[in-house]
Amino acid sequence: MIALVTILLTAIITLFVNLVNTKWARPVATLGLAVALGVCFYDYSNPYEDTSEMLYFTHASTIFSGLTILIGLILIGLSEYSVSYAGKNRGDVYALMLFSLCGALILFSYSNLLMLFLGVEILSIPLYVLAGSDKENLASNESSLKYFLQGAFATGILLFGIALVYGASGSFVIGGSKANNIINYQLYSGGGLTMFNMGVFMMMFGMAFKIAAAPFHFWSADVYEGAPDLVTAFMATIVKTAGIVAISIFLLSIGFLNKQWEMTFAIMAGLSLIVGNFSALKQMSFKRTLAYSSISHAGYLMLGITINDPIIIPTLLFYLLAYTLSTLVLMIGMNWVAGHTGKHDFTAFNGLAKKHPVMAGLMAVAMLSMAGLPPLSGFFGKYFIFDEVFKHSSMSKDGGFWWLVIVAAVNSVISIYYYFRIIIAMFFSPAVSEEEVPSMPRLNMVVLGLICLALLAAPLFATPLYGLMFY
Amino acid sequence: MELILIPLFFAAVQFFVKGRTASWLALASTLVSLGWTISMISGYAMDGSTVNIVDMEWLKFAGIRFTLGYDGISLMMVLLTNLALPIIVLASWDRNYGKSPLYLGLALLMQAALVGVFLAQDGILFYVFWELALIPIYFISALWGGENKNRITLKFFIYTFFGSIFMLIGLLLWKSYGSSTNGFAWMSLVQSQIPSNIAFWAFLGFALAFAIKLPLFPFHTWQPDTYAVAPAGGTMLLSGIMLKMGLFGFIKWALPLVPHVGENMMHLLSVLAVIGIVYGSIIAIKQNDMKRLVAFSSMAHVGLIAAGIFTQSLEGIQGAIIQMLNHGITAIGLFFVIDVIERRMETRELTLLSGIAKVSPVFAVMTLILVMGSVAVPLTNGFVGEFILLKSVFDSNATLGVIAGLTIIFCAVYLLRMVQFSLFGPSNAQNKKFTPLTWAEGLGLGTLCFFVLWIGLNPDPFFGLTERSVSNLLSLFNSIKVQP
Repeated sequence: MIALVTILLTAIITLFVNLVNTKWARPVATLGLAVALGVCFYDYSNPYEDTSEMLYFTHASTIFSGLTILIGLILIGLSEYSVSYAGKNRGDVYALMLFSLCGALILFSYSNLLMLFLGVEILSIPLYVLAGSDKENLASNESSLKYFLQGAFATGILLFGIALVYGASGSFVIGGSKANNIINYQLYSGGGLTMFNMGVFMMMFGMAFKIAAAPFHFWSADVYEGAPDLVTAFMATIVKTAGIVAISIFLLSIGFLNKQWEMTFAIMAGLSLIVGNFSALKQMSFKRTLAYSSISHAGYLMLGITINDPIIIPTLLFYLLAYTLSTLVLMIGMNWVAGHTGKHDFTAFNGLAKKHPVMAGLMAVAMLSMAGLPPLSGFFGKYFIFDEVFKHSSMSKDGGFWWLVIVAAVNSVISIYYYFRIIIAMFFSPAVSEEEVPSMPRLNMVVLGLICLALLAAPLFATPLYGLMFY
Repeated sequence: MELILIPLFFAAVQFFVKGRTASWLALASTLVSLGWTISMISGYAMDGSTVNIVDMEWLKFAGIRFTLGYDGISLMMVLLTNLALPIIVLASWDRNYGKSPLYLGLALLMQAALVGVFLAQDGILFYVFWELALIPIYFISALWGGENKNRITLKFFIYTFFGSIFMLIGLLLWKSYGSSTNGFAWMSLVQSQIPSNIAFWAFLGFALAFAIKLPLFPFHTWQPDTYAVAPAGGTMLLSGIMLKMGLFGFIKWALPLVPHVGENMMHLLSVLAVIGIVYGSIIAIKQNDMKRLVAFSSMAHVGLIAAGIFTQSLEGIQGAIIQMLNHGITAIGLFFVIDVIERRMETRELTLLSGIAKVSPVFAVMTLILVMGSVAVPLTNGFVGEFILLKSVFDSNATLGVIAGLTIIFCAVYLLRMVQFSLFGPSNAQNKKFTPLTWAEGLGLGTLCFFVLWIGLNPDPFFGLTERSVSNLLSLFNSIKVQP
């Protein structure tokens, strides 16, 4: 709760500080996020349930908030180079990112469908602007327009879905401990159930758009590619986390009332895996490849949600932790290389390991984690999801979704092909680009190194991490 | 535990040194590991019991424990690994990459992972080490490889990863019928009440992973290219130790499923193994590239070892284990020999070589000893292993035994052809490039020759190490109650 307020204040202060002196914007935003991260510890020990049934800050939601605040801290703290495209407006970029982060925090803790809608809007509207914040760049403008047109449409569908659910059940409240929870209501007889199902499906589709799950993924590659690297990194990590958590809170809390969504959701998960992986195979641009790979990662996460049991939440956290941290390393590395060579292609990375072995090594570790190779956390994230789905499948009467695990497993083999292209480019290809890539600032290297260390060490501490979620 | 930590520690140290210091450190590390292994073996009671080294809580909610332990079979494999590593460091000594801290660090990381595979007593831990071993060897092959390395090594990686992921699914299936609290412990898996139709799929997953690693016909297509393209040190790691992971996996992790699956599966696999023997041998005869020749010969030899394991008899598995050690020694030796020739003559084409024996008789003698070991001439190590293997295969199925017996004849044909073309015949003008062996080469090859003769003359201590473990294992498997 207090973390949310802290971030909001930081955003406003950053805006004004930027008017005085652009140089101060980054330190102020970083400091604010660091304070917010500290406040998360307080929030964690003081769960807070809003009396007006809007927000419910649980242990789980605080941990997810902590994760996204940490990501924001890293992104903004290391953004000296990546934000340079914005010139004097960098304070605005930071403020918009912080506002968007507020939306993410609301999505982790909503207990009311209205707050879900508000959270989605607070998350998205700054993003539409951010995607176009590289004003002189045509691709960035295109990205913004595409994102806005399709995003606005998806939000409309989400809102329509909420209206239908409310119409059928007479309540907005989900989750939390209140008696007027949707699941405690009798649906109106007659068309009530159909209406409710329609609403659930429309909400599901609207949110699937936000996490770029197939078949609602068409915007993502262009938007990711056109947006500035900093914004792409923000979308691939924080927005993805917020979307997945929001969709899982909604579906899992109505889960036992309505099971019809399970199969549709499973098919969407399978499609995301297949579409994401196969589209990534033949891309020339590393950034586009990451965009498609993030679609397939949404597929793995959705596979976890299909078990329709809140027990999956800690597993989602672990997967998201592994996925977002390795994405951060790759995005920051890519931004540095692409910024100095002027292109996002794989060829820009050729021979990087000869010049900058440490940086190439860190990116390789992140890539191996993304690809799901043990002993890195990426593997354990996937494994825990597979394990939960199998467990659930062996207990459920209809057999569950074990076949989807096979699809996911085969897809993780296919993904090796494109994940390793960057490793091949960095380590085994002779350099072709003439532009000299200078070495990264020491601070960035240290932070990226720490992230890679965390990727290695997280599996060792998975048990206490799971414990935190349930405590 | 130290056996994993020592190589890991020295692999990390490689970040801070360069040049010769790196090589010396790596050699020292591998020798310490070897010494540690020998002391472990001498401390082992030889009674077939499993000794746990570490047993810790790890991922409690998922039923995963960090358990390392050993019995005679594991000790034998660890011995092979830690014996091979110093030789591999020596074999790379005079190459450029032998001075590269990156190469040495990766080789040591590989050593740690391999030892982990052989010691793991928990399914997921086994899987983690199994995959971990893949990363360093991929980098070694692709960084110092020859022509077309990117394509070939990526194919190798994806192919083996493809197999392993099905092993993971097999493990998940198997575990869901075991004990609920600590489901991946090997003992709990062995005693699980898995229905036979599920066991069939789990076994298929394991068999696919192991068959690709061996490689068993028809999953071998990655092998010759990868062996040929990898640097000598990488090829030695691949053929000498890494494929033993697959064989070891069959013995320890796949055989417990066989009672549930039924014997038919074993017959199918034996037939595949025997096809591999004949197929590999015939192709090896036609090869002119020495490295590809030995690669195909390795496929034939491994086919025989696998056929021995599939008999599920005490003799078959005992023979397989000793032959795994032997094959490790001779394969590493032969690739060493090829590398010695290649570095001096800048070619490994048989047609371009001739009469090296006239220039370097010492080298020729050592090569001949290794070749004899591989051909299984009596009094060499190969004879001890292959004789028992052939007997066990023959006992279980006479037809297959006879066909498998061809391996010895074929092997003599292609290896003697290799020796004849390269070592004997008139000395050609190129041979003045053949400088005398350096100390590292002499020491490495000499040690291997010593082991060829030692195991050939006195195999009893090696059999003794594993005998009780294998018989315990087999009686455990026979006591498994099958769900109807």
